[in-house]
Amino acid sequence: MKSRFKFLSLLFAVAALAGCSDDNGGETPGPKDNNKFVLMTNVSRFGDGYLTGLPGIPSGSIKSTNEKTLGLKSAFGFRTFGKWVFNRTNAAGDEGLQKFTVNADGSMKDEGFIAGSTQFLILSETSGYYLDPTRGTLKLQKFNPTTMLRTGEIDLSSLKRAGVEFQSVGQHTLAAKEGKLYAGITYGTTAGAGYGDDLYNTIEVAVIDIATDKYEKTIKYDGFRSLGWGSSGNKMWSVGDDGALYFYATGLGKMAFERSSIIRIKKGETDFDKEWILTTPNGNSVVMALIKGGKLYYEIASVPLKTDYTNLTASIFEYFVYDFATKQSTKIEGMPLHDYAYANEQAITEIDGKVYLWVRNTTVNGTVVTVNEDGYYVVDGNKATSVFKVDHDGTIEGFARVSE
Amino acid sequence: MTRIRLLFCILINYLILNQINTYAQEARIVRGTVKDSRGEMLTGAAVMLEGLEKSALTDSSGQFRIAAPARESYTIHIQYIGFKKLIQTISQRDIRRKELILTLEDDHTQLSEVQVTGKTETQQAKLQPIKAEIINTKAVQEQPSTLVELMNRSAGIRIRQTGGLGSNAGLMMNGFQDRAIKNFRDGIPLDYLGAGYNISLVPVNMLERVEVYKGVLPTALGADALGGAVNMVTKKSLYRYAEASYEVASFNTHRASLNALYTDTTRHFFVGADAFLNRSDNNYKVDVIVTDQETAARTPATVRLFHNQFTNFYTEAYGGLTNLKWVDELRVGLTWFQINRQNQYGASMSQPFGASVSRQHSVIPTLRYRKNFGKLGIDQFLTVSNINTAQVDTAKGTYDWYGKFIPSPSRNGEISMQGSLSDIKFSYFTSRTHLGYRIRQNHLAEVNVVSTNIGRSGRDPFGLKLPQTGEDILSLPAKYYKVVAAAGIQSTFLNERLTNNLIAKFFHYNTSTINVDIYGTALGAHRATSENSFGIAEALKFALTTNTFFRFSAEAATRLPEQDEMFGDGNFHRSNFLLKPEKSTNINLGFRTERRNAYSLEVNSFYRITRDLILRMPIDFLFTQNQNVESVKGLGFETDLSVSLTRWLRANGNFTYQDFRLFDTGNRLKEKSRLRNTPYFFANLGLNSTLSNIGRGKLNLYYYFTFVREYYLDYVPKSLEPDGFLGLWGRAKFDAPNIIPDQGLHSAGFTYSPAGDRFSIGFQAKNFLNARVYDNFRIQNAGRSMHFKVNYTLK
Repeated sequence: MKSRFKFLSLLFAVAALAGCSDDNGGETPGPKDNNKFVLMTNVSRFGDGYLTGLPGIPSGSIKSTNEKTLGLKSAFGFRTFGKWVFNRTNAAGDEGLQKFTVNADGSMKDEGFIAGSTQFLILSETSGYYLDPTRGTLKLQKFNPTTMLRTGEIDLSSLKRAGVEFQSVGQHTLAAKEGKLYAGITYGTTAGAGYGDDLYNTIEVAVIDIATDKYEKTIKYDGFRSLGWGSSGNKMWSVGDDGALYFYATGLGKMAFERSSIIRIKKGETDFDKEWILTTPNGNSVVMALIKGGKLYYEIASVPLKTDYTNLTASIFEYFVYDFATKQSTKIEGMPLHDYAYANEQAITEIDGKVYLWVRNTTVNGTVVTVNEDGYYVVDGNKATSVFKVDHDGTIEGFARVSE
Repeated sequence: MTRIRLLFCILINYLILNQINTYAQEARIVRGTVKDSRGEMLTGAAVMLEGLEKSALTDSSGQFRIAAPARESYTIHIQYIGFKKLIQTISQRDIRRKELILTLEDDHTQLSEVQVTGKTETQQAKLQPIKAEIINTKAVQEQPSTLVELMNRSAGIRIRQTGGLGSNAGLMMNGFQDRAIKNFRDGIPLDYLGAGYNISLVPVNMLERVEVYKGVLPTALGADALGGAVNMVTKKSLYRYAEASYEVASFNTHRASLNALYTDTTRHFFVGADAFLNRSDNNYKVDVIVTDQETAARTPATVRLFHNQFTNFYTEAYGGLTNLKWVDELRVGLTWFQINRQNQYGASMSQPFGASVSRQHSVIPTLRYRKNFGKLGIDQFLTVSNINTAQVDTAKGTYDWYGKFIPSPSRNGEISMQGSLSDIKFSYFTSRTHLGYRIRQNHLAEVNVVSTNIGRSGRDPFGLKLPQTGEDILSLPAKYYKVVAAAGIQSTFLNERLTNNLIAKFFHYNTSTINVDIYGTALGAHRATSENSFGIAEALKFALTTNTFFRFSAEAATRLPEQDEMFGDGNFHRSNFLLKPEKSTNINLGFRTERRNAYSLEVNSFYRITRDLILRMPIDFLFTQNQNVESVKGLGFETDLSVSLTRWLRANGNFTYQDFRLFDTGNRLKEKSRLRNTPYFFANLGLNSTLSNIGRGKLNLYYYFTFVREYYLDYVPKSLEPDGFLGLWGRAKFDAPNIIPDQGLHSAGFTYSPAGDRFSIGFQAKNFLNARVYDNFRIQNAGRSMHFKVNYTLK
């Protein structure tokens, strides 16, 4: 169990990082700096890896490291906020929220660490939230991202439901929109600790007023479990350019990859929009999307995912673009089948108004995995072309701009 | 502590009173030392007083003492194989006036015999064709040194401890570690003794020597070891003795040992007991990061460990029959041990624990039968045991580094959220059969079979349960059966200048349990698996002169997957019934030469190629699984030199460099990278001085220096390794913070024996420069510590 939790927390850590991209909450823009990018890669999947600063968007084939690269015990996705890079473990692999900035020479600077943090949200330069299960799974901790110091907590123990072995708030989802904090509520078992053990076939999210830290209500969506996945670096929600908050019901755990969907809270609303839903065919797991210009870019499997997870790591995924007007999805051509987005918060990302897609294509023969390519493509209409590839046999775990 | 002191006082009183009684009955003590013509002490020489029917054997220091009626003079007969018989008449006045030294002359008609039988077992072991690092524990038993320290001073061996006394000690050699190396006591695999008896616990006083086999294992050691074995050889004695030692050291550390043997050769029986105690608060200072509870701010601090106590009791009582028609030795033993451990930290020192404890205890009966029927020798060992382990983690909160408890509404335990109150019983049935058959004078055929039956049952009210039935996963039956059989022949040729060992091995295991998996469709299904495998080993020794030889050995070795590696934990660690055994081909080539009382030099190189190493791997978003993933190959080189600088000063130095790298990884960053988290260069230097006639006794002074080159926690791509020669200088070509830094450790001490070997005191200052020491990433070991030890022996 110990190692399982370690693993899960590692995943958790990365997820939180990933969830902290520029679009965090759609609120205050982050601190500004020169135009820099960071690339996270691992040596082999789920293993140790590197965080490398880059002076711009690379092209062609690049190495995964340079002399300023920082070695990480755990490289499983990250999130950014302005010039800040957030990892859910420190370089030594301890669970918590690690903040880095990129020095002028491309090296990483340790800017603070909050031990015990799991899922998190950066709201502004001076305001953020995180879940520290040890302090309480029904409490959200508040902190100042500039100083990386805890500033208080929001006690949500009033949400405790009698008879439930394990209950948490903000474990899998911590999002914000228009002055409200949205924290997913998990009802599970002691053994599962909230992972894949949802007791009810209903998604529940607590709505908290950010100005007053007051709990306002719980919103529900029946027929789903597993909204987000707290141990992943990928935060599994995003705010579209339409102002709506989109959540990803992953199909993981008890859903057994059924009805993996994207649901939303529209701009100006504080409850789910029951009029709109994008549901993928059974055997899918949606963990990533980008909403821009009336389109929704997302990833689905070309063949059904197996419930024993044995093909989850295979290169069987494709990118589609959904048109809100026609409600039709179109496959994006020009790239090979690729891997599950997992914890890569920037698997589908926008840079300078263009949509970039992460493509890692592998061939598996027994336990031997051959990486055919691992890089980013840029989308033009329904087609994508390769921008850069990393010359390695590991995995890109994220690529993001750290300045605006 | 009161109990320990009381025990020690009783023991000392007993020994002193016993000695007084002995003196009262006899009028004179005839004592002396037997040496060969080169000044080497002779152990086991037969000394007899003519006409008095009084006799004795010399001890490991070549000394004898015989109580005899008073006479004006005594005629002493001394016999030893390979030497001419000595008959000498000594007057009573001579005995009183000076130390009696008797020198035996070589008998050149038996020269080839002398080379083997004229040496101690420990000396012989150094000369075996199968390369073994021999740690002569008996020679340093007066020192307050641990076995771990002694082994770390040997070439090619590193032991990493996760903290102070009693902490886990992992042995590394030739790039192998953990389960690839098997442990034995007197040739019997140690599994049946659980955690009660291992290299980190056994006081050196309990042992004759430790044999560390790198690569090839002799026929008599039956195990599926991949890269080596450690055989702890307990003390052997032909006569009655009692021996006690007590050590007190920094951090409220106390170590005591007691060995006693009573033999009656006329009535053909013996009884004895071996016991030891280890106890330490292990409350040394460490450098940690402390977190402010209110703000989560982190600051570095030096704190004293507060929940790191370790206590271990071990006792074996034994008795048996010897030299009867039907048995050479029949030995029945009963072992009891208890371990209590406070858990101060986990895999790193990032989070302290303040309440969790682990316990283990067992009562273990053993039976051993040995008999030589002419050319056929039989050695049979049997044991049945239950080892009970308990883990308590119920703090409902966490601790900070200052020992302050912080309650948590969501935690049941401090180590894990759900906590633990596990109680697990491992049952062992182990049988080891060894047959030896001598074919003429120069061939010895051996067969060795070790079979082990392991079962596990237990419960943990806070642990995992089957989702459908609620059944405790630990309560599900799990069985594992393993047989390792070896057949070998040892031959000597060319007037014993050439010795050859050829060994064939067979491995089999089968195992069964309920396969559980929280999402698996095979939930509740009964799963079983089995595997057969073969191995072969060859070892050759060619002697150029009596003291110079070459040694070569090669082995195709196998390590079988263990039960837990196949079955997983029924939850997020998935089962893998397709695991293959790990396989390794090991080759050793060595050279040794020595000139008595001048120098000895040993050079050894080794090559290994290992495939299908079993590692626990994350396999997707949720699960981990043991898989055959890594292959390793490379060369290692080690050398050890001892030089007598003067008659009273001896220097010893050794270094080890090993270049073991991954291959066939299918990953450019991993390919040819060094084994991670494994030292690749380490060296030792020692100075030893023996000053006789200090007062009426002997003073031994010593100094040791140990150096380990920094190494990395994770794989470093070969292209990013430090540039310096063999990686011995420089830094990695990227920001690599996860590093185990250079370690340099200085220790010094002395032992003083006021009168002969009976009583000695020892003092040692370990790590006297108070260097920060880490064997594992961010787990700090003790800084400077002071150790004082007394030994008392009665023979």
